[in-house]
Amino acid sequence: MAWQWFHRLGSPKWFYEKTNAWMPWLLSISLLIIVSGSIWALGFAPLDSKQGNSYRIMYLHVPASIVAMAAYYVMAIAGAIGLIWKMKLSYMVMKVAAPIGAVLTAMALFTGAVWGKPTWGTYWVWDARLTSVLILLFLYLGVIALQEAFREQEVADKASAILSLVGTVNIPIIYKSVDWWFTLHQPASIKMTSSSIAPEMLYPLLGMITGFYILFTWALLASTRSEILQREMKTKWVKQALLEKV
Amino acid sequence: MQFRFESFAEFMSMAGHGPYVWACYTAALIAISYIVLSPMLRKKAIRKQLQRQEKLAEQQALQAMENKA
Repeated sequence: MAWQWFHRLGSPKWFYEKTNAWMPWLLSISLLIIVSGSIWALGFAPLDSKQGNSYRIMYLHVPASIVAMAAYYVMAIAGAIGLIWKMKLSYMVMKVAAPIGAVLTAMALFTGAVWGKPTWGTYWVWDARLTSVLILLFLYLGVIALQEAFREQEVADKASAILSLVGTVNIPIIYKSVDWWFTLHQPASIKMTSSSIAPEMLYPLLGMITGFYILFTWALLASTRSEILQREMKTKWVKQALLEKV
Repeated sequence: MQFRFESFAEFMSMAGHGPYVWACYTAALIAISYIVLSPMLRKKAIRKQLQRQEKLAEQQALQAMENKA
């Protein structure tokens, strides 16, 4: 009885129908937060005394980086669940998390490089944090490539899941890189216990992080729903769901 | 809460950091648009594919009936 929800969750049809009502809400709330957060960050947040206006890039760089790593957790855990319980839906979540994570990681790298130019005087250095995030991007691209490489979906899913799990080694390295090798990238400014950042600068940042998390949730669900439709295209319920609402 | 820039031109230039800041926000706009649009477009494509298949199946059924008659 207690495990009933878990088995239900494994049913793509149940998942599709259950998430239907959430989708417009998640998307509109996330976009609203991100747009207002950006306006706040660009025009109303106070000037940073050391970095000047370039620090306004932080409001994109930090949320993109945090959610890029969260996406990796989701991908690796979904892959593990798929391997252990042979749950197809879980593999679908793993598969669709990769391109979203790749875009977020690319965004973190790009904003970081552009922020680095006026702040450090260079776009790129082989700093431990930067390098480990670059590896994160390659891991995402690897999963995407593996998905394309096999004709049989089941083989592709298993291979991607194993790569995701092996790549998890990189996650604590990313976290700890700023403390282990203190080269150029600064350590985290926000911590659970204390933050070394002024409240007027912190609030829009927390807003942007929330907005990015909600957007990621929406994107993950929306992409999983598309993946379900694709893989179950021959079933009756998909035909009904897609052809009736035209 | 107050606007931190004297004029729109100053807002754009951001005391020299304008190109960096605006490049990042433009890139973010493109990335977010991609994240939002790609699952939507994919669903649309799948629907179109299904519609084509249904049409084809209907035509084949019709053809089969005509052949019988």
